[in-house]
Amino acid sequence: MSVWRTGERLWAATMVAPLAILGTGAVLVYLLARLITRRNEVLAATTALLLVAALLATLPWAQTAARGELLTWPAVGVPTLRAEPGAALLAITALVLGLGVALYSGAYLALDQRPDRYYPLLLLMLTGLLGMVSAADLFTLYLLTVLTNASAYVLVAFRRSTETAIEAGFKYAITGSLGSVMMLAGVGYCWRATGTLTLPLTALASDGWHLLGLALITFGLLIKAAVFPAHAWLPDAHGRAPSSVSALLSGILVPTQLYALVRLLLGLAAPRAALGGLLVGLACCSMLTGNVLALRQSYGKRLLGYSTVAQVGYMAAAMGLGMAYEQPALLAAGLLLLVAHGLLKGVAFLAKGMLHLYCNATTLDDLDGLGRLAPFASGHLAAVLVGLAGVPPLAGFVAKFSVLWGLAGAGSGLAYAVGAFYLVNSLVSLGYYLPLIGRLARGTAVQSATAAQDDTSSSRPSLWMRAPVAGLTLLAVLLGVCPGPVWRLAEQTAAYLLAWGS
Amino acid sequence: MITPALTSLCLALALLVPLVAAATELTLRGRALRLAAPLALTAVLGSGLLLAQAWSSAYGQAAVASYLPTLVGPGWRLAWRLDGLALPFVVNLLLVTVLAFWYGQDYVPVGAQPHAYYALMLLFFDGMLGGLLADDLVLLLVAWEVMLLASAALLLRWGSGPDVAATTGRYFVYTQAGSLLLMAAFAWLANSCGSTSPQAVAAHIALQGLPGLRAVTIALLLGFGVKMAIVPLHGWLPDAHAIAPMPVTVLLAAAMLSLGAYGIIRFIPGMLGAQALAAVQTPLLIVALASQVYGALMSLASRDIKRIVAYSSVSQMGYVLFGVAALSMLGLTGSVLHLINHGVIKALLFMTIGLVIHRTGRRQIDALGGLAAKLPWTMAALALGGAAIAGIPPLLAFHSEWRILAAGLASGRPLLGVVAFGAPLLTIAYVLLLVGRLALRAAPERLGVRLAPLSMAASTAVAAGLVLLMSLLSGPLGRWVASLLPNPMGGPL
Repeated sequence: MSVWRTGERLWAATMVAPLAILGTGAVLVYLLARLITRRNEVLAATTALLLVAALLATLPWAQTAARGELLTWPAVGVPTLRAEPGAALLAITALVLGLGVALYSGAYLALDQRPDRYYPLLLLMLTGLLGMVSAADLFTLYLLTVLTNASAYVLVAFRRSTETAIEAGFKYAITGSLGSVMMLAGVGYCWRATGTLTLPLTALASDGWHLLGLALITFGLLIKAAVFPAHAWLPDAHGRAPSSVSALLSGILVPTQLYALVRLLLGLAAPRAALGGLLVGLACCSMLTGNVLALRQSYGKRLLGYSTVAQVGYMAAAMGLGMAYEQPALLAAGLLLLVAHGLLKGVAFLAKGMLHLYCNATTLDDLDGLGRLAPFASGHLAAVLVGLAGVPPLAGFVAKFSVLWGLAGAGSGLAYAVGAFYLVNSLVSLGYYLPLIGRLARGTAVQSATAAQDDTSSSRPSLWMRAPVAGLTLLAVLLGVCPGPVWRLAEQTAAYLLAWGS
Repeated sequence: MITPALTSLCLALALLVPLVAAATELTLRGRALRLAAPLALTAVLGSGLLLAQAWSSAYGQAAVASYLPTLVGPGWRLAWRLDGLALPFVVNLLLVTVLAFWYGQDYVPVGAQPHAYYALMLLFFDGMLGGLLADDLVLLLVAWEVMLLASAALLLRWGSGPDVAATTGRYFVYTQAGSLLLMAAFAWLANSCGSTSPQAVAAHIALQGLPGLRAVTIALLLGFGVKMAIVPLHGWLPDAHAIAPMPVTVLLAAAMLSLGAYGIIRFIPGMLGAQALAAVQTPLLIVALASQVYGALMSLASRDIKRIVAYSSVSQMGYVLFGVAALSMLGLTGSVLHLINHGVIKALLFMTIGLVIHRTGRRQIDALGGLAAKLPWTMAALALGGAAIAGIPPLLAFHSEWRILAAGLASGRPLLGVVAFGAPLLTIAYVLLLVGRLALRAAPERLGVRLAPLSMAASTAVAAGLVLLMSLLSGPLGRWVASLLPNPMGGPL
């Protein structure tokens, strides 16, 4: 008996190890900064090491997933966590992206005064994110969503000396808090109606309060996932946050909240066709809104923000159809799209940040001719933009093909119509990706960029920035060429989630 | 067991060599930049030798190879196949690429960054080769996009003209729209037939049929039709050809257009079955005729000599589609033969046009004339190319055009077959206009002529020699192509 107990605890320990490393790491980095050194590079390297440790500690999650075993942290009360295939997939993506961002910040934050706040917040955000995907009960889900989002609000407004940062952070915090409050109220109503918060929430909706609770949680998460019509906050927040933060927010945080929503909905004892249909409807609006508004942007990062709205729409459409027609292939394709988009959008923001730092480029006009001036950043930005448009060998292509492949198997007119709409949208998105690349490739650079280039002592960007940008791009290519391992994990996730509620 | 291993090694290397060479190009600096063109040429020749080895080691069977089955998914494979249908196209691609690279060696606009230019050209070549050899639907899409990216980058960086960015964008969007249709159709096939291998899909369809066969056929026709520049999907072609540097134009017109036709032949009658094509035969014949006539009329109406030749491609691709849509072995042989002939002739025509533009500095037909005296050899080459494209016997295109038109008469749509005989008359008209104006009209004032680099002149001479040689050998050539082609009109390839 005691041997069994020890073994169980050991498993449980491996389960929470990544969260523990990140959580205590946040405190450690803060103490390191306050007590020993505030050197940005040291803090960035420490954070990166902690993320590598957490990444190694997360690998057993994927192993568990492969064996189909589930680990639950002490099965008494709250909080509870559970290693699932999906948790492994999203956690690994988030940590890889986080690692890239931490290293990138080693140079990107060189001129900022408060690295002692930045890195702990980054770690806390990732802690919450890991908890969000592995939460085994509703209250844990709520708590960790709030932890992630609260860290994100502060990070968005991190450069508080600029007016726009405070405004963007404030807007983001208001909208996000609205989502959080709705979630909290929903959790309360669900508790009141059923007396249990364990996920999946399989109890049949018994009364109006229960329904209201579920609806509130759903809408709360929809707001956080920036699904139409609650998408308007995203371009503001992601367009004005430091680029390194935008990379994480757009690349993984927003899609993760979509995943959390899909996971929750799949656990409900409600007709999946209706829930999936609702999600697909909103998703189509998201695609269209994101793509059409992105055409009209004049600031590079806002454009990338609207592109995220559209891409989240693609994911939501794939996952919603997968839900409605019980198609594991579509659900898996949505997850592959999520991972691919995470890497690509992450690199896009990081490369854009390099252009901002070295060439002072904020508006699209500033990007004219930067290809000659800053070939590394421009080249990577151009590469991931065509990747986002779904051109191989980057990962966007295999994701797009998987989505279409899954749609072909859904066997319903609605699915085909959504597929056609998706294709049209993906063509429309060329309307803003291509001109951006065209600007980078143009012959002459504007004056301010040349001046900024002269100011910067070395024209070659720092290795702290080049390594993560090149590394993440390489990963996106690898995923595009050999999607096999990630695809298998996505398939397991889909199979697991579809069997979840029953 | 050594032979299959050798075959797959050769196929893999044939595709890897240009990639490695492209990467090597990018490392060249300083004096080593002189090596950019020789390195690229060597890579293409090496790739050709490897393909020859792969073909010969397969002893007349299809040379097939597949790698790393577990790493790529969901369900698709990394597989290449060099068979009788692909071989004529591969040979044509190699010939045209060597000519284009040689021609461009001292071509002025390339000057500043030859290493980047040749790296992209090699990538473009590799994309086309991959498109011809891909034995997997997803892989074909990948090759298609590599081809698009490389050629779009070449247009964007080395294009010349008023609106390079917009033209490149148009080219990209047209092709991408085609690719999306292909992608949707392939995803449908992969899901319905449970495999992305064309052979498996063909076997599945032959055995059990396919839901939505008509829609898939139309999507494939539209998708490949964009690349082939069939009217009304040709909107990208004239501008893209006009702005591209001449070696890129040669590759676009003489090799890339053929890939669209190759896709139609390989994947519609070859994979979906001849009955899929039969269902849309009449509209297809009409579209093909429209392309023949529209392309020729636009050639007649154009003032820019490069555009005149560019529009002629639209017309010639109409012939090819006509031959395919005739649904007979005669028509198919004629089409494949015509694609090869068209490749060589179009290369020669663009190369001579490039010489004229380079040596006179002008490209509007009204500003040119009297060149028979000033540039006799160039004009002789232009006349040869013009006569060849017009299908004048005994030059090579006569044999393929004759097969196509005869197949049209025999196709069961005699009216359309008879109308098709009108198109060659239009071809003769624009050829006469082009050659007559440039060579024989009185020379306009202040038309100076300067020397061309030796590589441009020599490669053009070789292209002209190739046209003559292929004319001499047109009988054996026709028999060779006919012997290579499996009979897709009777069943799966």
